[in-house]
Amino acid sequence: MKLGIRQSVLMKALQKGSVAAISDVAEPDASNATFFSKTIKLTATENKFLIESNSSLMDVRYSTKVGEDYGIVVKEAGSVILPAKEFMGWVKIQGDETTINLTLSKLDTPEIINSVGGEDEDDQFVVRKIGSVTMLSKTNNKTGNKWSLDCYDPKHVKKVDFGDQGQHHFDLPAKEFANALKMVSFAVLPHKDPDHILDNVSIQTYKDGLYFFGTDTKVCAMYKANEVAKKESSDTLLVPFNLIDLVSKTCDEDDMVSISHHSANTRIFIKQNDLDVRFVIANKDQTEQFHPVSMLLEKDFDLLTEVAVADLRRLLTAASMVNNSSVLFSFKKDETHMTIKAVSDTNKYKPNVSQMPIESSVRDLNAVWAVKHFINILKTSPDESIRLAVHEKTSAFKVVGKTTENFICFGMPIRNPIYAKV
Amino acid sequence: MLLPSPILIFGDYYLSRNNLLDMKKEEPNAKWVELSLDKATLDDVRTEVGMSLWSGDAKVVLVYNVPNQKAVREFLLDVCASLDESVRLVIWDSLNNIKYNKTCQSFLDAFKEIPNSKLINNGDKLTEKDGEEAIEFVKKCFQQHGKRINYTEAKMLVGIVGYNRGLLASEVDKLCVLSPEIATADFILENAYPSNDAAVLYMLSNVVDTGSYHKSVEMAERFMQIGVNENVLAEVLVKKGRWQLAAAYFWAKGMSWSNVINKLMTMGKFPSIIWHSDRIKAVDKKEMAADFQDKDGMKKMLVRKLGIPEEYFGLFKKEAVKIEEPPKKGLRKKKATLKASDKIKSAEKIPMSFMAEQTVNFVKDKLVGPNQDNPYIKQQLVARAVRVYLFAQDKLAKVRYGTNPMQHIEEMLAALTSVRMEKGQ
Repeated sequence: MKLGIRQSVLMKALQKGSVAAISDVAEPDASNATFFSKTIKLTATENKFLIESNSSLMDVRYSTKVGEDYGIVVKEAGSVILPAKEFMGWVKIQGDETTINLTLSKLDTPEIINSVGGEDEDDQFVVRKIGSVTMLSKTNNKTGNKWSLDCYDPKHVKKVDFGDQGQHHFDLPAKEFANALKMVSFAVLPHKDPDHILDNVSIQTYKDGLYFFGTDTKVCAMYKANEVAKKESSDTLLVPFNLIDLVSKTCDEDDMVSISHHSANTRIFIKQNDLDVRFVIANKDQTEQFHPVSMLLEKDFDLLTEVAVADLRRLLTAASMVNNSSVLFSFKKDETHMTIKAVSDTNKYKPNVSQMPIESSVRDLNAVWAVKHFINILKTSPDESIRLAVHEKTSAFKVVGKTTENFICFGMPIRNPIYAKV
Repeated sequence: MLLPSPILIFGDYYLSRNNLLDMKKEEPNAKWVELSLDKATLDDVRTEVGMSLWSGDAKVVLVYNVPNQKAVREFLLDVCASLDESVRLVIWDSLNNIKYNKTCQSFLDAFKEIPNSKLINNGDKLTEKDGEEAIEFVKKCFQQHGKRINYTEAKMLVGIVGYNRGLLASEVDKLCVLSPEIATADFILENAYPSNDAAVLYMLSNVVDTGSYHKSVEMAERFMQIGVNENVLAEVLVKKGRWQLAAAYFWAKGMSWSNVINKLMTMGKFPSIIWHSDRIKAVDKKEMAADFQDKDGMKKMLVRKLGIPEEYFGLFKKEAVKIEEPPKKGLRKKKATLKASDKIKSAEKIPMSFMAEQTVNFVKDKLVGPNQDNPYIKQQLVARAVRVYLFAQDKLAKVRYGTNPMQHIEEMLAALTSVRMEKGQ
């Protein structure tokens, strides 16, 4: 393989194509050479330049056209596997103005550098070093840098088929896609839920609306996506949040993202221009374990009052210094202020009491809600004021932005006997 | 919801974990929230316990890694007292702090008083001191499966598996699938998985006594595959050669086979003046020797009965405990330490009578056979036993310092299982 490529073109290709190898969330890469380092595969043909990375959970492929107009000149077609981090690190520091020449120098006989089962070449864990890739960077004023990296046999990387993508679900502008995930991110459990249900984001259809929904069982956050195009399926998807979030940050903001789902292979396919990503998602049984959005959207919540976000956030932060889990919210009918009281569960601190003006409350209410979660809702809310509604029977709350109604959060009350004594 | 609430699980780690797995099976649809108190705060516990699920599904909060603090125990009691129907609370003392002692008694009593509460005590961690308790535990596990195991076989199983309730319980679960009504020694030796160091001695010596070279090699290979060092195997085989030699010698001296078994069992027992006395009845020996088993009793016996001067013990102590000089000036002096080589090794004992019995049966049935009246057989038997023992000793050195340990072990096994008396066979 021999090619010349502009640094900016190569860097863009690497930022997209090497996601599975560079990020820790995607688990170890799927090549044999992962024993040494995470790797990426570079392939140059007459028409295309491909960068692929694979991990046990995720496969990524980025392709770009070849030619002087595209900043890539292929002198000799070929394919190599390189250590991702080292290669990308070197390319990154070369600067936008440089041209990078990559040349593969092959060994006469591949060198077996690791084999679990002895020196047997057929050993499935064997790693063959086929040579080294010389990387030469040059600017117009003849400033340059030369380095080389060991290169492994491209056969070590499995061939991924992005052909059969199953059922197409919807297209969404990349900016809205990333925003929807950002809005529900605080409610999704980190990647440590033993059942791997609540560390997922659920994408559901309800009355023609497309909802992104996350919950840690204490709080639920949902976001109704705008500008959904080509919606072709109403199936619910349960997608690992850390993986979909990683992909959303890789996509170009201004272009559409296309989502498909292969239910038999439990894989989601995300496509944007020349970027193809697929990763494993939850199966049908797991998907059904997640709450449907209808369960919450069809519940009756009575509007209680309107509250200013910044003030409430400040007061709740003060209250959380005394009790980081639960605080008592008190409202009196027709009164234009609310009280927040935090009492320490362990008697470590004296109670903290706050008061703030509100639009007059429509009824009396004393409810204990989760303070951390409430703060997260306020941090995420794009509005200056929120509407607070309450479920009459359970005292569960619902928060909706005063102007942006597509971000909705719900929280359960907490039974905490220390507030019963207050 | 099927589970009572609150539940407190304490005692043996593995059994407690099994309890939790069973509970999870009982409540497959419940949402389990696990809070480790080395990370989660007490506020978090209160929040989780006080919060039902949106769906109205069952929720079980598991609190573990509970620190050994009175304030935390009191907090948990307070939480337990205010539980709601929709949330179950399970407290697991995974750090093994809770015991029936003065510190925890009031907590346990108060917990029992909580309506609908359940206390699961899995007993303290077993050690070698708790041999009888381990045996009882094994017998109880067999009973739970509707099977029986006698004392000796239960002791053997403990020897093979080790003093770990969880491993013992899971081993019994496995054995009871195949076990006859009453588990026999052969069944245990054939089927129990060796988790304990002593298992090598039990299992390898048992198979050698069958006289089958192939089975013995197979067993040795099995041990090596699971990571047992070849030196350990070779030492067991030398020990086996020594027992055969002792059995052959005692029989050649005119003892009956049953007396040979008794005699082998007294090997290595202190004081020999009691254990090897012909004038003391076997039943009285244990009681008479009991006073001399600790350090002071041993010293008393050596000084008073055997006439060893008392000063010797002082000298011995001074020599054995060496104060190492600091390597460089200015460094603090190290404390007096006993070197490994200074320790007195305990005498070799045959751990269980069935092992002495098996050794004697091998000598009696496989080597001597029906020729017991042959005048030359005793002479040949002792000569064979000495030859095999010395050969095994020689091979032990080769296993330790040679190149192909498995080959030497196979040759040791060939010698030990050989029933030919003549030299050169």
